[in-house]
Formats: sequence, C-alpha cells, structure tokens
Amino acid sequence: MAYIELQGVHKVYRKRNLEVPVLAGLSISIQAGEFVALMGPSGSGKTTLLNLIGGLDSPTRGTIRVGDAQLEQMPERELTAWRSQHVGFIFQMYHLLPVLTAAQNVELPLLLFKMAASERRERVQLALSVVGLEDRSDHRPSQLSGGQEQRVAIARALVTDPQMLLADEPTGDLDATSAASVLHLLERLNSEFNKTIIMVTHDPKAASHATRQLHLEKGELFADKPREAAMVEY
Amino acid sequence: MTRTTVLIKNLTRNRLRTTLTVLAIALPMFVFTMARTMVEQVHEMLAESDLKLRVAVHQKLSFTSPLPQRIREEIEGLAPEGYITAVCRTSWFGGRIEGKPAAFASMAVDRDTFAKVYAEFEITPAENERFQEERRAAMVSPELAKSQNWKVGDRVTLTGSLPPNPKMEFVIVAIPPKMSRQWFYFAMDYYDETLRKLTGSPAGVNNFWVKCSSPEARQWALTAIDKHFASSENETRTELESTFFAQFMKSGGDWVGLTWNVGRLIVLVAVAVAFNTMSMSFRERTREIAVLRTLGFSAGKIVRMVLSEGVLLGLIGGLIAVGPIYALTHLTEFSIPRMGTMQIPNQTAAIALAVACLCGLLAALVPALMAGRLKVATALRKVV
Amino acid sequence: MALPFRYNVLSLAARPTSTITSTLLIAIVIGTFAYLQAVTDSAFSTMAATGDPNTILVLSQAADSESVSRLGKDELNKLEMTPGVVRNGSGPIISPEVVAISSGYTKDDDNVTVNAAVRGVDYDAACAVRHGRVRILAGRPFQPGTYEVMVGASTQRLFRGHDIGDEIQLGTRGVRPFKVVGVFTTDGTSADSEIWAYSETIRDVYGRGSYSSARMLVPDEQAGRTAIDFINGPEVALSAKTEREYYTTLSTNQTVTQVLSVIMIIIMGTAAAFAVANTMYAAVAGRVREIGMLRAVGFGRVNILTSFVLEGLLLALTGGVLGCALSLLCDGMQRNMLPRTFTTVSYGLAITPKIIGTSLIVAVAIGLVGSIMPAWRAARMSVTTALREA
Ligand SMILES: Nc1ncnc2c1ncn2[C@@H]1O[C@H](COP(=O)(O)OP(=O)(O)OP(=O)(O)O)[C@@H](O)[C@H]1O
Ligand SMILES: [Mg+2]
Repeated sequence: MAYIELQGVHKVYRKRNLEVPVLAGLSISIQAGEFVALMGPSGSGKTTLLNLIGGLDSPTRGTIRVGDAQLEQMPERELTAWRSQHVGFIFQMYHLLPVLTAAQNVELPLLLFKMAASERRERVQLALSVVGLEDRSDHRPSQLSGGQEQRVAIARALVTDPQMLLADEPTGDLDATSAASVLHLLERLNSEFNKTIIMVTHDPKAASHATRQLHLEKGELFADKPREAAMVEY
Repeated sequence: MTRTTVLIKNLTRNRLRTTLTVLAIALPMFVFTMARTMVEQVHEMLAESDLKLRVAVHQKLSFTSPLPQRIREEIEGLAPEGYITAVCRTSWFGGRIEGKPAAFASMAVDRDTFAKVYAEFEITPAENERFQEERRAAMVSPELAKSQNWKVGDRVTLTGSLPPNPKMEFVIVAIPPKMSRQWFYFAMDYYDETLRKLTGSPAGVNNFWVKCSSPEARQWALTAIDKHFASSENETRTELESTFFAQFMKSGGDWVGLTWNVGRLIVLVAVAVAFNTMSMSFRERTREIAVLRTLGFSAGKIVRMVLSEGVLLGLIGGLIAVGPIYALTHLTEFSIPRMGTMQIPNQTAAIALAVACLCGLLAALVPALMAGRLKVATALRKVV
Repeated sequence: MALPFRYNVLSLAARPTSTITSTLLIAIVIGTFAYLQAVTDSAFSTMAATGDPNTILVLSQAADSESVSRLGKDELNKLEMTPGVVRNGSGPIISPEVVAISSGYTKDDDNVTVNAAVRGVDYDAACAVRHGRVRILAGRPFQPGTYEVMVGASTQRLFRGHDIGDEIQLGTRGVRPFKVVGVFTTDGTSADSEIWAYSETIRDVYGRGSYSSARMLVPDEQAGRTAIDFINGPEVALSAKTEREYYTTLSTNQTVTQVLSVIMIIIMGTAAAFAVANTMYAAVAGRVREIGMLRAVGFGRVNILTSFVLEGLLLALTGGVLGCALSLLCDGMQRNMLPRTFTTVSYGLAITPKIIGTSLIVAVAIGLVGSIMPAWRAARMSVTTALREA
C-alpha cells in the first residue's frame, strides 16, 4: 500500500465571490521511502499541494491519506497532533526563531512531547550531527549562513523522527554550494534514514537528486516531463 | 529549555520595546499602589478608631459650637455603673507660633482622663505624672516635635486661633512615641483659667470623648446621651469616632476618594500600553506563530503562550512598581507629609501584582485569540 | 523640501490598532489631567470670585477667618467714620454680618453630616455691599425678625431637607426651627453654599453678643487702600482686607491637589510618552526601506527627523484633543471643599480655555518626548543599510 494516497483532490480558493480553482481532481500515490521532486510554473499550486499533504490545509473535494491518517476527515486539533509526529516541514526562508539558539530551535518541537530534558538534549545533538552542525549549537540564526540556517531548519524537521519531510523550495534562497550541501543532506536522509521526501523546486538540477519527478500544471500532475521541455520552461 | 524559556526569550526579542512597555506598566501601577495604600490607611484609621470604643459628644449642629464644661459630670452621672471608662473634654485652641503662618492642631484636654481615653498613645505613668504636676504642661507628637525642633523641657508660646486669641506659654513634658500626626495637647484647666482672666467667661468644650467599656456600653452611649439632652438648652449629638472623622473627608471634597478613582482609572493606561505592545509583537510574529503551528503546536497552546507572555509582561511591570516601594517602606521609616509614616500593606502589594498580571492578560486577549485563529497556510504565504 | 504631512497621516492610518490604542491612552492621561486641573482651578476661582476687590472686609484683629472673628457694637460705630466708603442717603454702606454654623445630612449619604455657614445679615445692606450680585432664584427673602431663612443654591443642592417650605434647625442654646422661604445665588461664589437669615435673630439663637465681620463698599482701589489703612490704623485697630484678598487666602487644601496633579501628570505622562515611543519605534522599523528610498531620492536627515517627530506630535495631539473632549463631560460637576472656616463650600468644575491649553501643551510634550528618540534613529540610518534591510 502506498504511503501517500491522493484521490480526486480539488482545491478551490474563494476570494469574495471569485472562485480560483487551483487543483482539479488530482490523484497520486507515493510510496514510503520515495524522494519526489515537485515542479511546475509559478502559481501552479505546488505549495498548495504540499500544504494539503502536510495537513496545513484541507481539500475542497477528494481524499488524502498519509499512512493511516485520512486527513480530510480529521479536525484541526487532531491534524495538529498528527503533524507533530509524522511531518517535518522545511521552508524556503528557513523560519527559525531569531531569539533562540540553533539547539533551542531544534529542540522546539520536542517540547510537545513528554520527554526528559536529557533525552531531548541527546536527540537535538543527534539531529544536529546528522546535518553536520553539532559545533554550532549555541549560535543564533543571525550568526549562521543561509545554508547553515537551512540545515538547522532540517534538523528541526528531523528531530521528532517523522516518516515524511515536506520541503518547499529549500534551496530557493541559497547559493550553489550551500544548495548542493542541502540537497546532499536530503538525499542522505532519504537513502540512509528512509525518509519519504517531497520537495518543491524550480531547479531541474535540484530535482535530479530526487528518485521521481512530478510536474504540476494547470491543476493537473504529469509524471516525468521530458528534460528538454523543462529546460525551456525555467 | 522549557516553554517558559521560549516565553522569556520572546520578551528579549525587542529589548527596547519590552523595557519601555514594562516601565509604562510600572508607572501607573505605582500610582495605583500608592493610592490604594492611602485609602487603606484611611480606612484602617477609621476602623481602628471604632475599636477604641470612643464616641464623640458635641453640640447638635456642629462641634464648632461649644458646650459648657459641666456636661461631663452629667454624662458620667447618666451612665449605668461600669459603662464609661472615662470622659475627656477637648477644646480647640488652634495654636500658632508668633510670626509663623502654619497652624497646627493644638487642643486643650482634661488632665485627669486624657491618658485613659487616649490609651493608644501609650502615655507612661511617669509622663502622665508630669502632665498632672506642671500647670502649663503640654504633650506633643514626635512628628510635630521633630518639625519644630522641640525637646522635653522646652518652653513654647502659642497664640490661640479663636477669640480672644490668648497667648499662652507651655512646657513640653512628654513626647509620647505613639502620639500621631501633628498633635499638641495641653491642660483644659490652664486654658479655662486663662480665658476667665481675659474675658470673664469659661472655656467652651467642642467634644466630650467618651471611652466606653464595651460595645454594648457604646451602643447605649450613642442613643442615651442624646436622648437625655434633647430639648434642653444644650442639645447634643453623639457619634462614632469614625463618623466624626468621616465628615471632614466628605465635606473637604473627599481627596482620598478622588485619588483612589484616579489611581484606578490609570490602570487603563497600563492595559493600553500592554495591548499596544502585544498586538505589535503579534503582528511581527505572525509567520513565526504559523511555523510553530506547522511543528504541531496546537491553537490552544499558542493562545496560552501569547496570554502567558502578556501576563509575564504585566507581572514584571507590577514587580517594578511594587517591589522597590514595598521594600523601602518595610525596611525604613518612610513617611510622606500629611499622611504620616507609610507602609505598603501585603494585601495591597498582592492586589497590585494581581492587577498588573490581569492588565497583561487583558491586553494579550485579542492578540492571543487572533494567534489561535491564524490560518496557517495563509500566514506562511504572507511576506512580512 | 519637507515631506508632505499627508504622508504622516497615511502612515498612522496604516497602523490602525497601534494608532488607536496610543491615542486612547493619551486621551485617558490628558483627560485625567484636565479633570485634576479643573478640581484645583475651580476651587480657587470659586473663592476668588467670591472676593470682590471693591468690598472691604473687616475682622477683629487676630482673626484669620470670619468664623473666629468678633466685632462689638462700639467697633462697628467706629467704622462709620471710615473715609472713602460709598454712601447712600442714610450714611456709608456697611453690612455688619454674623457668621455661625449649621449642619445637615447630604442628599446622597445618610450617615455623615456636613457643615454650612449661616450668615446673619440685614438683607438690604448685604445686597448693597455685594452690589447686585445677590439674585433670588425662587421664593422670597426672609422677613426681618422672623424665623425664616433663604438658602444658597449650592446648599439647597447639597443638603437634604433644605427646599422651600422645609424647616431646618439652627442655634446653640436650644435649637430652633427656621422655615426656608427662598433660594438665592451669587453667581457661583462661596455664598451659594451659605444660609442667610436676619442678623439679630441669628445672634439671638446662637447666643452671640457680637458680630463676626463688617463689609463696606468702596468705589475703587485707591479709596479701598485709604479705608484699609484707616481701619488697620490705631484709631480703629481692626483688621481689614479686600474681600478678594481674604477669600484667596482662605482655601487651604488646594496645594495638595496641585502637587497631586503635578505628580500624576509626570508619572502618567512618562508612561504615555513610552507608549508613543513604542509606536514610533515600530513605525520606524516598519519603514526602514521607505526611509532608505526617501534618503536616496534626496530627502535630508532633518526632513526624516521632522517627519517622524511630526507624526508623534500628530498622534499625541489627537489623543490630547480627545482627552480634552472627554474632560468636558465633567464640566459642571459639583465638588466640595473645606476652607479654614470648617464650613463646606460646593463648587462646579469648569474646564476653562486655560485648562484646555495646558492639557494640549502637555500632550505636545508627551508627543515630543516620545518621538524624538525613534525619529533620531530613523534620521541616523545610513542610506545603504536602510536600502539593504529586509
Ligand atoms: N489563500 C489563497 N486565496 C486565494 N488564492 C490563493 C490562496 N493561496 C494561493 N492562492 C492561489 O493559488 C494558486 C497556487 O498557489 P501556490 O502558492 O500553491 O503556487 P506555487 O506553485 O507554490 O507557486 P510558486 O512557485 O510561485 O511558489 C496561485 O494562483 C495563488 O494565487
Ligand atoms: Mg510556492
């Protein structure tokens, strides 16, 4: 059975009396352990789709199942609890809390669990070592480079050990070297730790790190768009 | 790290703003604390005066119209055995040092019963003896003695404020530590004698302070004395000491009440300041809150977090407002002019802190609800 | 070239929550300040209005108030010779008056009594020395030689059972009922808090052999000085002042409120200035890029500084105006005071132009203090960092 299963998902945004259809009857299944790159032109609905899978938003119609969870049927409160255990989000702008140190930022989601302080510390150390930043744990975000900030954000997504990581243009704001290290990290998380990853990206080179590529266009998904076409588009 | 750590860290985000806010909460809360202390002090004074089981007997329309001295014996004769501990007559003298404008409160009192009726002054037997022996004896409060630079044994000449404005010399025989405010007491017989010499008529009495032996006795005094003198030449009114003093407050414009009203009103300033800050910092942190929600923090947790932040802000402001003045008034002899020594009561300090927290809570309410209702997906999109 | 003012208005409107909160906060502070001012000022002006500069008040030598002054018949006779006093057909206009005290319950409180001054006068003489300020609002004046009184408008308002037709109790040696036959006003002077009756009757029921004071009318200040010198001189040896001088020194507790309101406004004003500073700092932080742009196109540091200070002033003044408007709600409210005579004087609060003026000045000060530091921060910013800022 697929780990992620979307069937006939519609998403229509309502702006006053204007209806903006974004996703039109989208169906897809993703296996556990897949690394999916989600591509498509700006405004095509990539972020929308990611938010739906992460339980941040609910579909207008259709069903979304992640693991055992039938997301469209869950109330907000349950979704929140589910997120804290099963999803790790990674954003383009990192979104670290500027007042907390790197370690404290990583520790943040663990505050939601009943956990001894020592165990929390261990987990934070582990997550930071996975992203290769154990020596920066006392730095504040303002004292880190963009690539380091993004790696801290990945450690934060990892620390609760979720099955699935959702990354929205994680390299969008990074230079080539930093981007490469982040992509390698994601690749390693996928291959070594068997995390299911969905990564939105505009960069075909970034997408090439994934095990599968999906293209979203005019509300519909296309698998494996020919490379050349993609090159023209971006 | 705990959630409290996050809370405190959040306050350090914009130190300048937090400092300004905390101070802007502390200032009105300070006024609130002082105002309440003042009110409490006055109420306590009135409540305490009733514990002393004293009633004031004066002329029916006003204590400023004097009654004849002999009424004392009549009152004493009237009471059932054991009801009255002692009666002390008082006559307003006013009193002014030649050439100085400020009048203080001087009063002629009965030599024999003064110490008994004003037991709270804790006049020692030795002091009382000197008061009996010296014809021109006067007792003054420490506050007055200090302000005039008087010592025991000093000779003081005062001019009375009432006609015929006699000039009298006194000898200070005691400065009882427990005597309050700006009081100056001397013997009635000396005053009477002086007036007789000057005008041929005796001194009139403003008040007969009747010290009762029990609450029942006082109840009796409140009605029986007036009944006895009704439709006589000297109609009286008998009042509780607290009622007697309350009239000055009432007819003087009730400054205490005014201060208290203002003190309470400006708590609103604290609320407004805190609200301004909380809503500003909420607006700036909308995205952060959305991120916390993606991490799995529930709406309820976020609401509680914002509320706690408000309460913390209020609490710090409250501590700054109350802490120093509380310590100052408890560790040192702190006095303000006209109010005497002042001490912030524990209860008032606690109430002020609670009110400060409440201000913070109130101020955080709207931002907290907004934070709780935040649409995560939309908030993440917003470019701040 | 200065930045257009409209720019500040718009930027305040762009942050409605913060603008409204700060405005309200300043309004509370300024409103309270105006109220406290009115409490002090109106008390003072009531007393000052009571005193007429062309009326001479004569007291016994050591007396500092009418209530403790005693004038005998001989002394009054000596006053007849005072030079400079306005005369009518029968001689100089002199009103010998006797001041006693009565008490009663207020309309709103059962328990506590307050005192009113009882003034025994010859009605025509009393009106003459107050040259026409006494007006009958209802009923009629008392008849000489009867147990009748007329009550001042404030007395009628404050005391229970002091309306026309009611009986009130006056006197010392045995209290007597007096009938209220009229209500009068002297246009907001302290006499409105008095009870007037026939002088001989009052002297009789209060057992007074003497009068308390005498009032005399003089045509001008010059004549007044002559009269005062004569009375204070060895021939008469009494104490004379103009009525105005007497009443302005009579009210005692004004300094307390004055000090109180100054302390309050310092504390609360500082709090308000801090709030303005918070709002303005946020405004500066939110407009860093805008500031960079403005500087880049050629606006100088001074322009930026004045612009932000103006914005703070606008905020504070709006609050100040609102506060003054709020304080108008208490215009006309009644308060009591207790001058040295131990008799209550009621007075109405008046929010005067002077109070509005002072309050607005305080509002401006709050705005200035609150915005100068944030404005300075904005002006100090270098163009390049401002433009780079996210
Ligand atoms: N809350 C909303 N209300 C109305 N329309 C919305 C809302 N959120 C998104 N949209 C619209 O939905 C469409 C898809 O948006 P989405 O952010 O998912 O695109 P995207 O593929 O992530 O684009 P980009 O590559 O620029 O990030 C856009 O046209 C957008 O304007
Ligand atoms: Mg997107």
